[in-house]
Formats: sequence, C-alpha cells, structure tokens
Amino acid sequence: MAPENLDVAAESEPVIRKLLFFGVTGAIILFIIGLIYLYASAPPADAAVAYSLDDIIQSIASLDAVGIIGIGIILVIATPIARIIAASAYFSRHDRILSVIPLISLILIVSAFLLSILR
Amino acid sequence: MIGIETLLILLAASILIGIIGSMLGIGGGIFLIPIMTLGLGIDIKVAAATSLVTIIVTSSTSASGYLKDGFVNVGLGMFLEMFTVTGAIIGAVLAFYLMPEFIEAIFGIMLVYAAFYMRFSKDVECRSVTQDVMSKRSRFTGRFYDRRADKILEYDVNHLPKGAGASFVAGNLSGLIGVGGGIVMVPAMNLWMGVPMKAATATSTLILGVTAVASALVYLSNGLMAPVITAAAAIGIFIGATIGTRTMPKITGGALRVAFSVTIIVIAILMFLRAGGLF
Repeated sequence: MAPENLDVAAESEPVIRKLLFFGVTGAIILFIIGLIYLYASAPPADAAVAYSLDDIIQSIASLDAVGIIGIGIILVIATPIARIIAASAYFSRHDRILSVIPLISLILIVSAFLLSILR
Repeated sequence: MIGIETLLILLAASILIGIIGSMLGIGGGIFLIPIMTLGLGIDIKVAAATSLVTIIVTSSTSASGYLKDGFVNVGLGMFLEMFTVTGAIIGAVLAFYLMPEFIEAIFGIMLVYAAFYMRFSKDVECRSVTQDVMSKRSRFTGRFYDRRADKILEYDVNHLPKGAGASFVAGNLSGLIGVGGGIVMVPAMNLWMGVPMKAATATSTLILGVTAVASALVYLSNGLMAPVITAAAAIGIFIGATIGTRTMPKITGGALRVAFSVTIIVIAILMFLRAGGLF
C-alpha cells in the first residue's frame, strides 16, 4: 500500500466510527425497550430460553417484546458487516486494492453463514 | 430457571467484563462464559451464543471510541481481520475433529509465556529501525496522540507475515474453543509487529467484532440465541465498554501491559481448569 493510501484509511475513520456508534447504540436502546416491555407485560419464567431463528423472525413480525430484542440482536450482528461494506465502498473510490481487503472478509463471513444454513 | 434477580447479577458482571475487555482489547468471553455456566447455571451453548453477541458489542462500542481518539490503525485492522475470519471458520470446522482440552492446555502455556514476556519487556515508543520487505511495502504506519505521555507516538508496523499468522491462530482458537482473538492479537501486534500497546488494544477491538460475527450467525441460525439474557448482558457490556474506552487513554502503556499480563495469567489458569475438565 502506498503512503497516500494511509490517508485514505484515516479519512474513512469518521464514517466507520459513526456507523459503529449508531449501530450499537440503536441496538442497546432496542434491548432496553424490549426488556421493559417484556417485564411490564408478561415476565418470562425462564430468561435463558433459546429461540430458533424462525421464532425470532415471527416475534419480529408481530413486534412483541422478544421481537424488539431480536431486531436489536440482528442490528448488533449487522453493524460490523455494515462497517466492512462501508469501508469497502469508501475505499473503492480511492484505491481498489484497499477496497478488496474488507470485501474478502465479507465474502468469507457470508459463505460461512450460507454453509451453516444449507448444512 | 433464570429470574430477574439473576438477570441483574448478569448485568452487573457484564459491566465489569465490558470495562476489562474494552481496556485490554479482548472480547471477555473467557470470563462471561464461566460466570453464566458455573455461576448462573446457563447452558454452555446458549452462554457461548450470548458471549459472541457481547463481543460484538464490546468491539463496536470500544472501536468507535478509540477511532475518535485516533488509536485504531484501520488499514492494519482490516488486513489482519481477513486472517482472523479465515481462522475462525476453519477453527469451527476443526472443532469437530480435535480435542479442545489439548488445545486449551497448549494455549494456556502460550499465554503464560506471553504474560511474562509482556510484563518484563518495554512498550514500543518509537519507529522501527529495521523493517521486513513486505511490511515496508505495505506501510501500515500509524500515529496517535498519547494523552498520558503528552506526546505523539509514530510507529512502523513490522513482521506482517508473522502478524497474519498470529491472526489466523487467533481466529482459529476463537472458532475452536470460543475465546475472543484479542488475547493472541494484542501480544502479537505489540511484541512482534511493533505496534504500541494502546494502538494494539484499540486495533484489536476493531478486529474482534468481525471475527465474532461469523460464529454468531452460525449460533443464531442453529436456534441457540436466548434473546432475554443476551439483551441483559449486552446492556451491561455496553455500559462497561463505554467506561473502559474513556479510562484507557488516561493510563500509561506500561500499566496497560501489566494489567494485560495479569489478565492473561488468569485466563491461562481458566484454560488449565477447563482442560482438566473442572468446568
């Protein structure tokens, strides 16, 4: 990587920072709302019950307390992925080699996820 | 049965883990999982899924704070995370074939060595005198203002191939035994690659999130995510990570190294206990 590309990496920092901040803060707000809603309406007998992906999707569709928390979990997981996409898009305008690095990570993550679903 | 009292205990423990994790550039799963399984009686797989989400929360919260302070080497972080992600995926596959107890025992010995080496060597304070060809070409040079030392630290990154290898191992261990890669990444960046301690911990927090995402998606798709305890732990981690991120710039790189070496000794003991089947 040429020295000027260092500046490109540094210039991308505010974009990445805002994305991470708003992603995680949004998720935490949803967690707080979801927990308050849950314990105010129907407190669960056991809080450690695991939900299948289908159950979480159904809860999200009905927008119940678990669904609100489910959106938060998806937002937490989506935040670093969005960071990779944003970094790649930002770098692609300045340096193609630099934009490929985050894309490789993204392809690996998506492939692992698809394989785990299809398995 | 996990009631609201247990949930509050989990929240309090998560705050503490969030502080430690964000300051030292580690995910904190190695502490959170035993608390959840041994202390609160939560199933190990559910605990691991919760831990992975909290690692991402630590990563996003801390990295956004450290980016503001200029500690994160973004280019280096994105380069190394290619290898941690590859290692994590291969580790998850290898987990079916290898004995985790054996890996944990070997890993524990490695950690004890790294702890003593970090404790008794000096932190990076200047640019590297000699650089290997690959690192020189890549020029992942970094600089940040060290508020505690009141000076700008400028550094060259060295031994990129070694760092890439360590990142692969870090990701591999993450996939194999469910620990965050930070306990490997931070010593590798600091001791091998010539990255000052503060930049190493901050860059490690950026990498942690992406490494954990791959595994978290697998746990989510396999129906192992418990939304309620995950939300409680994530809130605690967020509070702790916010406190830790604001505290780290105020302490010296040397003090951070001492704290890190003590922490990895504790982790090594936990590894030996796990390898011995004690939990």
